[in-house]
Amino acid sequence: MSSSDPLIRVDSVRKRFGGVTAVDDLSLDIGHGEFFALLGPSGCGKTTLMRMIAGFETPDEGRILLDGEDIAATPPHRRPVNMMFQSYALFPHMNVERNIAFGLERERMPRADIAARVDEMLRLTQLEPLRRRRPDQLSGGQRQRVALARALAKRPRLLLLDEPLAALDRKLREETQFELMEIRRGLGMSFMLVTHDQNEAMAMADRIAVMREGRIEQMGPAREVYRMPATRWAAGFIGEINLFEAIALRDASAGQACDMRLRDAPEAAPISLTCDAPLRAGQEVAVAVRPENLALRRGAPGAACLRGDVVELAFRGDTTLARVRLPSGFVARANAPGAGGESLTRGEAVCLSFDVAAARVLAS
Amino acid sequence: MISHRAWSERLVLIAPYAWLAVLFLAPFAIVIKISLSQSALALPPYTPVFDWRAGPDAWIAGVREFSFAAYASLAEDALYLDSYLSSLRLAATATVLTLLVAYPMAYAMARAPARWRPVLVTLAIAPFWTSFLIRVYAWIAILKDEGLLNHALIALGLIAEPLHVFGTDWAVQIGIVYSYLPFMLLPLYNAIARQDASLVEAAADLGAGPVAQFWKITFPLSLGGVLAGALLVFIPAVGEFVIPDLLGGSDTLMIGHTMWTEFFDNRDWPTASAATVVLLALLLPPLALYDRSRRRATEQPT
Ligand SMILES: Nc1ncnc2c1ncn2[C@@H]1O[C@H](COP(=O)(O)OP(=O)(O)OP(=O)(O)O)[C@@H](O)[C@H]1O
Ligand SMILES: [Mg+2]
Repeated sequence: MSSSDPLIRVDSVRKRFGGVTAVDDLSLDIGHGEFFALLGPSGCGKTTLMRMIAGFETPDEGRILLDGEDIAATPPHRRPVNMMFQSYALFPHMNVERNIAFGLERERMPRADIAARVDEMLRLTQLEPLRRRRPDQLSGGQRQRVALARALAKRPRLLLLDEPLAALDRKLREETQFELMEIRRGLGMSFMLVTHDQNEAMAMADRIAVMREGRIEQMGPAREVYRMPATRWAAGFIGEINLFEAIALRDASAGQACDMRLRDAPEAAPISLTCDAPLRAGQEVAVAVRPENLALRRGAPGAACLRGDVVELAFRGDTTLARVRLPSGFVARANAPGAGGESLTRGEAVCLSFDVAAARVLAS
Repeated sequence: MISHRAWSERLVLIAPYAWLAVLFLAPFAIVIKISLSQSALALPPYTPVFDWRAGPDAWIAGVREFSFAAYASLAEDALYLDSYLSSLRLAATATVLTLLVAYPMAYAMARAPARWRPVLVTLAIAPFWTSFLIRVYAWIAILKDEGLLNHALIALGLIAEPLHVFGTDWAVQIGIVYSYLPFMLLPLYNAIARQDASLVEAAADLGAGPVAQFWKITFPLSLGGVLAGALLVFIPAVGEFVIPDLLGGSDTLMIGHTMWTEFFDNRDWPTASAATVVLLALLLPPLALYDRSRRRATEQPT
């Protein structure tokens, strides 16, 4: 082990179930103390990846390294990794307390310490009044909290959380998110979190990987993945985004500014955007702009402006989401600040514009 | 139409009770009646005998004749107490042995690949396709002094002199374990196979090695099956007649055999009937236990 080794390295791992390739040549690192989130549609292989790290599935190809050492031969009960199961897998014949204490008893921790740790976990997950209940006497959200407490109690070096908060109401979910981040600051554990809630991933994770059909579509710091999606698919998967069709006007190499014309603003002057990949003149690309970066004005056509009609308005507290139909039929989504939004009406002609710094060119 | 359907539905509900009433309650009422009668040199060999045409006065006179003499003779004769105790002891030992043999088998069956399991279950109950009596006879050929077992052991050089197994309580135990194995195997298999596989994974994840996984998770969760299997073996084994009769020796004492002797050799029907009623009374507590545990299992699915 050298200090530069990541805690976990997944190296070109592949896993097949019959004809299905659940995880396909996937590599990633999780650093010491890092909070890593895994996003991806249902069935893309998130649980399978976690089960390989925990030791319940053996990779068909590739290696998994812990502190630089291959752990293929280490059985699950010897790995310093704990997993919170998507199905909770609570022990039905033990009450809440005994479920949480189970892992601690296995490492022969002194009784008083176990009791103290169990109390701490019960407080954290707000389960104190339910400590003597059995799992079949709990609600779905309460069971989920027991599963979380049980996995957390052992303070493993890496905690694998498979949709840990999905069954909680919003208030409890936010509280638990804060608690988890607190724990992480205090204990320096690493986390790998699977979630379908992008806000949760953004709020908690240092880095995010977006998975698609067993592969990593994009991986990077949470903000970057959100602000700069790498592909149309990733852009569409994470958050709401507008993909405007455009045509490159000149050849350009990666990192250069490239002129392009938006399909929906044929008369407007070309816009100039930096692209990551080389482009050929005439190539079709997408220009991705988040709704909050799309400025919406009434009537008055400006220079770089996409004209359209408001087809729908949805008030969302402090902002209003407007759906605007452009000439090509594409419906763009824009956030109008509350005050402006309220005065808009359906069918009204509006003008959309964006700052080129907030836009991103997607060639694929 | 409506009353038609209601009738057929009622019939469905009544049928099992009618079955029980005709084939269990009525015969049992007769047994109780005989147990309260007195032995007599007659046909049938007891008094009073009720005649349906005799009218209520004769019936009442008959009931006045009832006595607990047969029960008193059970208490006086040490043979009965010894038979009951010996039966309970033999059945209990055989139940424990059956459990020890069946548990590893059930565990292996439940953890076998899913597509093999139906085949394994079929194999487990395959012996039922041959008559019980024939299978017990076959054990005579295996266990007797010049039987298969001794031949094999001597041929292997493990023993010099034949083992005397046939005609001992050991042979009875072997016979019971063999004959009742499926009754233990199937509830155990069910209890283990229906456990959520992720529970053992969760235990492993939390640091439990294979031994702790078994004793902390798999075994406690299979206790319902252990109890069901134990009672399914224990209860019929207490009253077992054929196995001790064929495989046991002259000193093998079981209540089934004692009852048979009383009934056919001594022709003392009241005492034999009283012995039957007492046996049933002895078996009621374990039956109630089983019923309660099953009820609890259905109330709280685990
Ligand atoms: N034991 C298995 N046998 C066969 N196929 C499996 C098995 N486990 C997973 N798969 C398949 O592998 C793929 C990935 O499954 P996985 O459970 O990893 O998805 P996931 O990303 O966790 O999905 P979700 O978000 O719905 O939980 C799916 O197509 C699934 O059907
Ligand atoms: Mg999953």
